[in-house]
Parts: sequence; C-alpha cells; structure tokens
Amino acid sequence: MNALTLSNAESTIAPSRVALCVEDAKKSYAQGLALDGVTFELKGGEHLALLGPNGAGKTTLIRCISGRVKADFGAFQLYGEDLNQENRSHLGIVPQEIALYPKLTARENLEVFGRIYGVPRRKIRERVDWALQWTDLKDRPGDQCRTFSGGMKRRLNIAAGIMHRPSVILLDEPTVGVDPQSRERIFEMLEELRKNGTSLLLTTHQLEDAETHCDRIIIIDHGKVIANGTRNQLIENTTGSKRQLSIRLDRLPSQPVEGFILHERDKRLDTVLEDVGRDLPPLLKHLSALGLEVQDVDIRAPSLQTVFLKLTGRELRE
Amino acid sequence: MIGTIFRIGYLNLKNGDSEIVLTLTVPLVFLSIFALIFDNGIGGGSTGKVKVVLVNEDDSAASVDLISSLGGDPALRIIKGEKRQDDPSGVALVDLEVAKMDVGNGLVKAAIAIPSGWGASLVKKPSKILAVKVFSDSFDPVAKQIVSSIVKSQSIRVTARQKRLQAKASAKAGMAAATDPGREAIDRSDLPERDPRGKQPVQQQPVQQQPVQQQPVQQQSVQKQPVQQQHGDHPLLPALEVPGDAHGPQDESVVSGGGDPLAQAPVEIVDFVGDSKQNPILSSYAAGIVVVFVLFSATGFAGTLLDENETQTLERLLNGRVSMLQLLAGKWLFIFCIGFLQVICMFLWAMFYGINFTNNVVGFLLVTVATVAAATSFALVLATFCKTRGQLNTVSMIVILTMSAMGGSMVPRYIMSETMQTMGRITFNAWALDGYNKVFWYGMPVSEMLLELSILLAMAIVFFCLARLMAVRWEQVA
Repeated sequence: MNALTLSNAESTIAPSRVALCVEDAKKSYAQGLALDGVTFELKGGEHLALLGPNGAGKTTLIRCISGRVKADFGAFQLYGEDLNQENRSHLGIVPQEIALYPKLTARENLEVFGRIYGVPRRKIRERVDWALQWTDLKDRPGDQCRTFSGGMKRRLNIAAGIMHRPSVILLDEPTVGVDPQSRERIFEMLEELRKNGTSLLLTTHQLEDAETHCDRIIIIDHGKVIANGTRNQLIENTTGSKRQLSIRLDRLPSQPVEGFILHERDKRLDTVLEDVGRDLPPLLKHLSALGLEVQDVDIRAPSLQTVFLKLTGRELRE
Repeated sequence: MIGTIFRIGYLNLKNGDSEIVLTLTVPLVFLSIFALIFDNGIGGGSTGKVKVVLVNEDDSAASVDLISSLGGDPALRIIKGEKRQDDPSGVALVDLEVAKMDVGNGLVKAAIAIPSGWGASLVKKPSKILAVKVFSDSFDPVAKQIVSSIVKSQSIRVTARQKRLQAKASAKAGMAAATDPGREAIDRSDLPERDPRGKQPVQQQPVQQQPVQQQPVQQQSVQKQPVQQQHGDHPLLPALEVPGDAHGPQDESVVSGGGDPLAQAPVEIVDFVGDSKQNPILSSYAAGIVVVFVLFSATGFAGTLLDENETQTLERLLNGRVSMLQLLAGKWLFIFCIGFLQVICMFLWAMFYGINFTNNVVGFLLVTVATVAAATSFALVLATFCKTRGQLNTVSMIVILTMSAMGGSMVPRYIMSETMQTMGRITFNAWALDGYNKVFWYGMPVSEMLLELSILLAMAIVFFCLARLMAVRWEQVA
C-alpha cells in the first residue's frame, strides 16, 4: 500500500502493518549522547507510550521523527518508506506547549493550521466542523482561544495538529496540566482515532495513562530503549511472577508468623509470593492451623511505577 | 514588603540575559551618539559646510574679489554647476538659471548671485548700492542665515577695499587738482551723503523693495531682512563686527572708511523654495516622525516570530507545509501592509495640518512603498537576530533610535557635521527622508527620486536576505 494513500486516517489500515519504524537512531549534542541506538516499531492503529525520565531522549526522538532534528545515524521509515519531506506530511505532531494563537478563535485556529498542514481549501470547513465536534468545542467556535480553560486548550491543541488526518500522530505530553475529566475526554478522543487505524506515539510522565490507554509501552533512558512490551510483559520481565500478598486477620496472632510482616494496627500480614497458584493455598491452611481467621485477601501485581523505578532508578533526573 | 518587591525587581534584572548591561549601556550609547552628532556639529563650532553655487553677473574687479573671498570661506562649499564658467578668481561659477534650478532641486542650500553693476555701485552712496542676492531653500533655515551672514561679511570687506582704492584714487586726484584746478569739476553726486555734522554718511536701509522674479520651480518671495536683526543672533556675528580679521590690517579702514559697513553691503534674501508651503516645518519633520514610527511598529509585529518560537507555534508551523522562506515572506507582507496603511493614515491626518501629498501622489506612494519595505525587512532582521521578546525590545530601541538620530529623523541632518551626515547615509532613515523631502518640499517628479527609491528597495532586499539567513537557527534545532 502506498504511504500517500494512508495519509487519510479514514483509510483502512491493517493493524499488523508497521506504521513507523525507527532503527538504531543516534544523536549526540555537545552535552552528550541524546539517542544511543534507539530501535522500535509502531504498528498500524497501535497506541504506543514512550516513557522515560527527564533527559532520557524522548523529545529528541520525537524531533528526529518529525524532522526538526537531524539524527546522526539511523533509519526512520513510515509504512516502509524512508521518512522524507514528502511523506512527513502524513505525520501529525502535537507539541507539549499550547501552540495556538491565543487571539484567534477556535475556528480560526483550526482553519489556519488546517491550511498550514495542507488541507484543501474546499475541505477546510468540513474538517473544522469535525474538529469542533471532536473536541467538544462546537458550542464555542467563535470564542478566542485565550478565554478557554486548560483542558479546552489542550483538546484544541491536539485537533490543530491532526487537521490533515495523519496516519501517525506524535503526541508530546498531551494531558499535562489538565483535570481528570479533561484527561478522560482527551483519551476518548484519541480512542476514536484508533477506530480509523490511526497510530499514536505518546510521550508522557503519567504512568497511569500509559497503563490504561496504551497497547504497548517503551521505556527509554540514557538514549536507549530499556524496556519494550505490554504492561504485563514489562512487569513479567522486570519483576517476574511475584505478587504482593496482604491478608487481614480477625485478631493479632499470638506469635510471629514466619515469612510475614505484621502490621499490628490493622491486624494485617504482608508478604511476597513467587507463585500465587502454588504458594497461596498452603499459606492459608497454615494460618487456619494457627487458629487465625482470614477476613480479606489482597493480591497485587507490581505497578508500572514499580517497573519504571526499578528500571530507571530512583535518582532524580534534572 | 516594599523591600521584598524591590528585591524581586533587582533579582529579575540581575538574572536577566544581559539586561543589567543593556540597562546601563543604553544611556551611554545614546549620549555618545548625540555627542558625536553635536560635538562636530552645531555644538563644536564646526558646522558642516553649506553647499552653494555662485553667480557673477558683474564683471568688475570688486565682484571678482567677492567671488574669490566667498570661494575661500571655510563655511561654504562651492558646487560646480553643469554650465560652469571659470571666474577670473578661479572659483567655479554657474549661470543664474542653473543656480536657481540647483536650489530648487535641493542640490545646494543657496545660490549667491552678484548682480550686474554691483561693483560700480559700491562707490555710490549706500542707498544706491546694489544688493547681492541669496536664493535660499528655507528647508534649511540655518544654512540661509549662515550664507547671508557670510555674504554680508565678505561684501563689507570688498566694499572697504574698493573704498580704500577709491580714496587713494581721490587723494591722487586731489593732489593732481591742487596742481591742476581744472580737475575740481568731479561729479560728486554718487558719493555718500554726509550728515549735517559732516562726520557720517546718512544711514539708509540698504535692502529695497525688489520686484518678485518669476521662478521656474517654486514661487519665490523676497525677504527684506533688517541687517541688524538678521545678524544679531547668529554665531557668525563676531565676524561681522570685526570685519578686518580675515583680510589683514588694511581692512580695519572699513569702519573708519565712513558710514555703517552693514548698510554698505546690502544682501537680498530670496526664499526660493518652500515659502509657498503652508507648514514648512511640519512637512519637513513629518517624514522623520513617520519613519521612526513605522520602524517601531514593524519591529513590534516582527516580534511575533519570537512569541511563536516561545510557544512552539513556530515549530508547529514549520512541521507543516510552510518553509522558512514562506513564513518570513508572509510575515513581511503582513507587516508591510500594516506599515503602508499606517503611513497613509498618518499623512491623511497630516492634511489637517497643511501637509498635502495629493500634489505628488505617485511620488508619495513610491517613496512610502520603498520606505515601508525597507523598514519591514529591517524589523525582520532585528527579530531574527534576537532570542527573546525582551531582548528585541531593548535592541530595537537602541538601534532604531540610533538610526533615527543619525539618519535625521530626530535631528535635522543639515545641522550635523559633514562626517555625521555621511555616516547617516548608512541608515535608510536618511534615504527615506530625502525621498519624502523631494515629495513634500521640492515637489520633484519620480525620475528625480530614483536614487532614493533604488537604495531603499535594495536595502529591503538585502535586509530580507539577512533575516532569512539568521532564521536558519529555527529551521533545525540541532
């Protein structure tokens, strides 16, 4: 399939097809290495989260893909073709800042950015109407952008970046600084795009967003991809099958229970199980034998934050 | 709390990019510029030479003497006209009509014309001495005063020499008469009248009503200048009061030669250009104001580039189908249109004050287009040079005010030293003002403005290319 025909997100794209491929991308600045052989793939219709601490190389990677920074080495392909000035127009880029004209109305902003991204004049009106509907700003098309709330500006900011209906969208922190309701609305909007086969590469520090709304997660640090997979795969690969077990009892045990940490205040025992299926039944039997009645059992898998901190360390990155 | 607020201001200043340096150096820069303008300009006593052309319609020895004296005057620069003829004194002369054209076209500030019979009239009584004419351009009132004062001063010296020669001749004649009584019958009717006490000649106002001559370029007016008043507040006054300094001790006989020396050197000033203007001062300064305003306005609009860069809107634009060249061209066109509209509005409003551009609409529009084009491109240069809006504000203030000072928008260039006038040519303010002066003051056709138009448009192109080069830094972040 020709990449040009994929520029319109309304086109049907085979989900398994690789939309964006980055291979061995390297980039160094005077301060040091920003990208050190980054390799990953983004499939058609996939939502991929790009995680990493500050200074890990996320923004440099996005800028290399968008063409704003020239990589020292590596290959960047869009639907099998090397990225160039021509097919980069099929990328949609949503910057972290509210890159809108504050004195222009919502409609005017959408119109000018539509034109900037090459939407034909005859289609502008239709696209603007669609974007206003999509962003829930259909009631305020004539209001100046500077009068909008943070969430409204964020939604408009995203819409302005995809007026040309790109097949691959790069979003840099699209939900930073917005309330939970706006965040949910933004992800609903992005989910709508998935139906059309649009691929998303999303950089974020909101690990919960990555866990909840993305199909796959890449963790990048010191310019390298250090983890790549689904949430469960990352957890499995990082912490294995261990689970956190917490058991609440009816009363405090008369003697310490081996292998457990006792929390006297809420009569709770904590431990880590290597294999829940194998280790939990004998443990419950043992407690019963001690004359203790189990009131509640809580089994938790390690969170993405646990994985993230385990992989990238707890040192502050400034 | 007040102290804390003060400290916040101080810390912001201290931590700003070069702000504290700029805050302290800007006043020094301005002081230096104006010192440079005035130190060798009007303040330093070495005003730039006044460009004049000389016309000698008299063939007498006295007129040659005056031409020679004027040619040697350090305050005048004698311009050689197209139809020049060599005066016996070696000073370049032009015909009267050419001289008038040169003044009318603004090539020279004044034309000094010695009328036919002037030399012969010197030996007559003061009321019959012919006046030397100064055809002036009232756009530069200082030059007019300087030239008229110099002409008076030099005329007095020449007159004194002629009187002395005449006295010597009379003495010889007297001695001869003593031996030959038949020579008593000298016609004394042309000699100066003496008062009843027989000591001084009767003083008469030497500038008499002259018929207004029809001029080809502008309606002229004859200005009767009371001699005393005219030189009374001029810096060259001392030269008039001590006329013998420049030409040796023999000139001291001027005062003792009989009569008021000023009365014996009448000068007739003809306001050749500008007298018919309704508001000559405003029309000459309006252009200067407009150019400064357009520069500031254009820079303000060009600063949107920096705003867009700060909010990543610029990056978003460049991620689209816009090239940097297109982006700058679009900005340029918008700023140009706004500037053009502003100039039109300003001059339409100025019509209420007597400034009329409708007499030369084509010339006005062309000069305005060229000026606004150059200002727009220059504003883009400033915007692409600076990194932040704050830096642009400071830099533009320094650069624009400096250019305005040097280019004549704030201080008329004719009062600057010649060096400063030449240096002012590197600013487009000077060329723009020259263009507007040709429109409003001299009413010249477009063909006479080609130099200014060409230079302004060339500057517009060069500045735009420079802005494009400096904008490269935004195209590739690294």
